[in-house]
Formats: sequence, C-alpha cells, structure tokens
Amino acid sequence: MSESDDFSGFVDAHLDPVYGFAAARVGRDVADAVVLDVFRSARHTFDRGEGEVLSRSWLLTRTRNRILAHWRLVAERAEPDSAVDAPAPEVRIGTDWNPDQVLDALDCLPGAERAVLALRYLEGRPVAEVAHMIDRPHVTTQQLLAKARRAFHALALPTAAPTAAPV
Amino acid sequence: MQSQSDVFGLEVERALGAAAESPAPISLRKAVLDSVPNDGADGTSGPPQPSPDREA
Repeated sequence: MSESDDFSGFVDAHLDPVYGFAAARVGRDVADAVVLDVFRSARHTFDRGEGEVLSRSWLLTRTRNRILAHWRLVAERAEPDSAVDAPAPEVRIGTDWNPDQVLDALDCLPGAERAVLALRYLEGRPVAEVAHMIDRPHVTTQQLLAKARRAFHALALPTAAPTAAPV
Repeated sequence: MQSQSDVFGLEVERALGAAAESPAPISLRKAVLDSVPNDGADGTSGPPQPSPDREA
C-alpha cells in the first residue's frame, strides 16, 4: 500500500467523528476550517515519517485546542450581553434530534451563545468555569445560557416560534 | 421534579450529542485529501517543516 493510501485510510477512519466533534461545538463553517487545519497538521506529521503517532486522540486533542482558541476569540469579541426574557418555547422531551437540524440551529446562533451551550452541555463545565472562560460575571453567564437555550430550542424545533430566534 | 431549565439543558445536551454524529461533508473530505500539509506553525504538530529542497 502506498503512503498516500495509508493517509487516505487514516482520513476515512477519523474524519467523520472529528468533524462531528467540532461541528457540534463551533458550527459547520468554523468546523470545516478547524478540521481541515488539523488534518493538514496530520498530513505534515505523516509526511515527516512520523505517522505512527497519529491517532483519534491526536486529532481530537488538536481539534479541541483550536476550538478553545476560537471560543476565547469569540468571548473577546462579543459585546457584553444583557438578559433577554424571551418566552420559553415548548420543550418536547425525547425528541429524535436530526443532526442537520441541530447544526442548522447552531449555525444561526451568535458565536457567544454557541460557545456557552457547548461549554456547558458538551464539555460539561460548571457555569462558574464557563463564566471564567468567557470573562463574564456569573449571573450574566447564566442569563446568556438561558437565552442561548431558548434561542436554540426555538430554532431547532420546527414547532417553536421562529420569532424567538436571535438576529 | 426537574425544573424547566433542567429539561432544556438535558434536551440541549441530547441535541448537541446528535450533532456530533454528523458526517463530514464530501467537500471537506476532498479538501482534506487534496490538502497540502501545513507547516506546524501553531506548535501543535512539531517544529516547522524544513524546506523540501533541503534533502535534495
């Protein structure tokens, strides 16, 4: 098997899970750039003859580092947010979430809201830690999370009122 | 009994988990396979690659 085939096999084995990991955290557009960059690094390592160090863990660590850097940037750029008491949409328990539908909703959220949702619900970080990471007071972070949850539900659930979506 | 906030949170967690199962678009797969290796400038892939001419 040629080296090119080896790398192609590596891509086939790991691209989807690494992309899914990134897309759920930063949305599709940023995920595309992050994942492409990480696999370029992998290719660089592979071409140096160090392909034995490459693994799923190698890829996810680098993907995560880039995502954390992205979130820091988003937090720096975000305007201080105020609480918005949008009416809560109906919550449907046990919804079979369609990945595309979820990613569509995430893509519509402002970066700061996407970041806090991912930090809280994918990374499992306590609100205090999320607040520290985005450099916001604890209460403001709770309010941003609440706003993000509502906006996400309004966007992701077809029955929810679209007017609840942020601009 | 769970508060509405807890329920929201659980559903968001489930939804984001579903999103993580999303496959990479074909265009990205092609871009990855066609990509030129980066130079490791972010420090995550080792030192910058020496010039390809060096070995010749």
